[in-house]
Amino acid sequence: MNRRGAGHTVRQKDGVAKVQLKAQLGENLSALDRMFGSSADYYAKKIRLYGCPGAILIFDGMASLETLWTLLLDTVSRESPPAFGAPVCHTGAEVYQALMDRSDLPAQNAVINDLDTVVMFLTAGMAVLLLDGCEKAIAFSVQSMNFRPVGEPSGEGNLRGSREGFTDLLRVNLSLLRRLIRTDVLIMEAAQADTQMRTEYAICYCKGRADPKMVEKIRKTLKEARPEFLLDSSYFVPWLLPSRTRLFSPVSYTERPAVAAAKLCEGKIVILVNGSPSALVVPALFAENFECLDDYATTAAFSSFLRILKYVSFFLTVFLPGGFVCLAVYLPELIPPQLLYKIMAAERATPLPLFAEMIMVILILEIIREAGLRMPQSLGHSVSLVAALIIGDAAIAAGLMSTPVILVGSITSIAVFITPSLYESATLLRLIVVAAAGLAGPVGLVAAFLFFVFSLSGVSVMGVPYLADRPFPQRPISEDGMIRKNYRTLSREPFNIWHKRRE
Amino acid sequence: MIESKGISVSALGLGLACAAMAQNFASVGDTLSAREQILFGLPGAAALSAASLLFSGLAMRYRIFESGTALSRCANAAFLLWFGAELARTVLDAQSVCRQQFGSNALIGLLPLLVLLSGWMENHAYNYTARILWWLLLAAGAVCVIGLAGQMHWQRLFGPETSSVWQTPLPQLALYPEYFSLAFLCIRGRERSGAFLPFWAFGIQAGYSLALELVLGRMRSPDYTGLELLRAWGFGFFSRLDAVLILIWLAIALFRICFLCSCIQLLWRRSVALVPGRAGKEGRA
Repeated sequence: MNRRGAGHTVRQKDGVAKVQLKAQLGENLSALDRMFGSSADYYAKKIRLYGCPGAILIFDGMASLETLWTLLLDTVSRESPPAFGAPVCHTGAEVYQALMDRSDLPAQNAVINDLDTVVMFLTAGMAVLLLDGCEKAIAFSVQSMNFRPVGEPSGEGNLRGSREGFTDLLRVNLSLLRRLIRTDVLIMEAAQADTQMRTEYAICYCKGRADPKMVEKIRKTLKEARPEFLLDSSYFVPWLLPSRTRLFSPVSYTERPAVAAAKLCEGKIVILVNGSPSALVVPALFAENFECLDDYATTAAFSSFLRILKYVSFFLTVFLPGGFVCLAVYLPELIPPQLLYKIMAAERATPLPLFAEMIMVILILEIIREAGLRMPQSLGHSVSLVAALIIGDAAIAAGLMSTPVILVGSITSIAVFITPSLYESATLLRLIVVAAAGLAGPVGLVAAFLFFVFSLSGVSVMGVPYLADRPFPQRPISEDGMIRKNYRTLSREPFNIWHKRRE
Repeated sequence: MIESKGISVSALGLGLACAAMAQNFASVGDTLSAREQILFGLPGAAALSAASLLFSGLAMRYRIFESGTALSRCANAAFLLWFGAELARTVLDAQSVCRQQFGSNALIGLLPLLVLLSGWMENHAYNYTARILWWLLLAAGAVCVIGLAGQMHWQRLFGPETSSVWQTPLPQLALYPEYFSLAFLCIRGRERSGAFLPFWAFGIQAGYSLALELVLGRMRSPDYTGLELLRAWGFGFFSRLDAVLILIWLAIALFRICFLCSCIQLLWRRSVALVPGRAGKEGRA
């Protein structure tokens, strides 16, 4: 598509070349025809408004022709006498002024005077009106896009609270947030990413709660980001967290508008991308991986108990296989004799060393998990059945693997799903810990643990460390961390990520 | 906005806890009793604490570590050597525990990785890691006390003394470079609480000696070391969970090795920057 070749003026604005609209309708239509003429969904109809030639442009399936006709053409026909005294022909500029300033039509206020903006509005599902003799266009909000309905997100289960989840359309998602935060503090800035697909994204934050410097930093970073494609908010992470390799990312994701709204009120910044229901929340704390909406709907004691359970599960999933290998191979005296005899008896029947066996079980369980995730849902049950039969029974019967190893591997695999947001780091760390413990014994296990703690402690984003700031002897326990206080007590001092809860 | 500008007192204290525990593990019988250790150790800790406070005050007032004078260069070089010696001692302690308890020389292979890791670590990472390790140490200590509780008898504290208190040799005060490095290591404004670090080391050492004597009485033979206390641990079918405490101590020792490496790197950078003619080059670089 050669827009420069169309003979339109090239105007430099903010360093980006813009092709300005011409006064002649025919030239504008030709330019757009060259761009979209061969596309089946491109619809352009020439009309006359108040005697002025014009054209209505839409993309079929994104804008509603019915609404457009009811809204624009019918209204214009009916209002023709009051807008102008006599049925005479008017210039495009006059019609533009009349429609924008003297009619009740809900036209977009934005000044559209270049082809890029025309395309931006068209691809957003709006109708664009071009007038002969006018270098500007008018956009009408007549979107009628089909989208996945607002349903409960499958990845974030809750017993209480809202059942709504984000959909794939950015505008719908923004409206879901607006419905929850009904004050002027919520700001939602939409922009187009510099990608091949010109995907739209939005930066949402609460004025007065989010750090303005950090909002500006994120705005600048996303504006300068050049992802090839932008299919999810997570595609922005390499730009938001540049450089070093890290095991933990100090960002979180949610598909629930209620969670996103709560994070916004805590001063965090939410990034939504058109076409994805997943909202990126930045900055995030490690402790937030162990929290959910239900925590605040139950008593403080019970939610604290659940959180401790979640922490234990996470540490189990990372360290149980490595710890088991280390104990069984290097420190058998730590295992009670009754248990040790059973482990040793089971191990004697298998050809592989315990360390290799554990690695094999972990990898097989990962393969099964990946297969279950990617395959059609109708086949999921068959895979589960085959996996349960083959791994659980046949492998033991064939003497390839021992029961204790499979038991440990299974506990580990189940425990990781308690904190799904930490799945990637937990899986990698588990393999590192097993390898270290298998190769270097207790020293390797301890070194892997220290590496884990260091990699957790070293992570920070925008000056906010991933681990909460609780100096050990002075304030060892957080108000809303591993355990939490009564919600009434917590509400007395609302949490803001940019400030400590208590100075 | 919570970026730390220095090392927290608890991170410094954790390193000292590691050193004090290593000293306890290696302590042989037929030396001082718990009573004597507490009697002589407490004033020793108070003296060290006062010296630490005085030195850090002077160091900050006269900018001993930063001024670029001959004194400053000497101070940096002296502390560089001291931290180096402490690093060597910590490595030897950890290696000896690894060999005795786990029959492993894997630590030697891990050392280069730890040195690399220390170059990558930032202050706040040490502070947060120390907090986690403190919790673990306290939990492991509690487990050990629970396992030993049934074997502790207070009468053992009052066994016959071999000589009068005045004739017993004075305990050797353990000097660690952290005591006198508060001026350039500690978070600004926390130097005063950092001066109490000798009491942290004393507390751990005295507590361990007390528990040892409560469980085993006064050890008279030099063949027995402080590790005997952990070996006495038992809880139903489990009899060697003392290894958990040793593993946690080992984690703290590795932490201390990384931390000392970072201190050495910091002092080396300072020393190089303070050498006339090099500072400009470093600055430009």
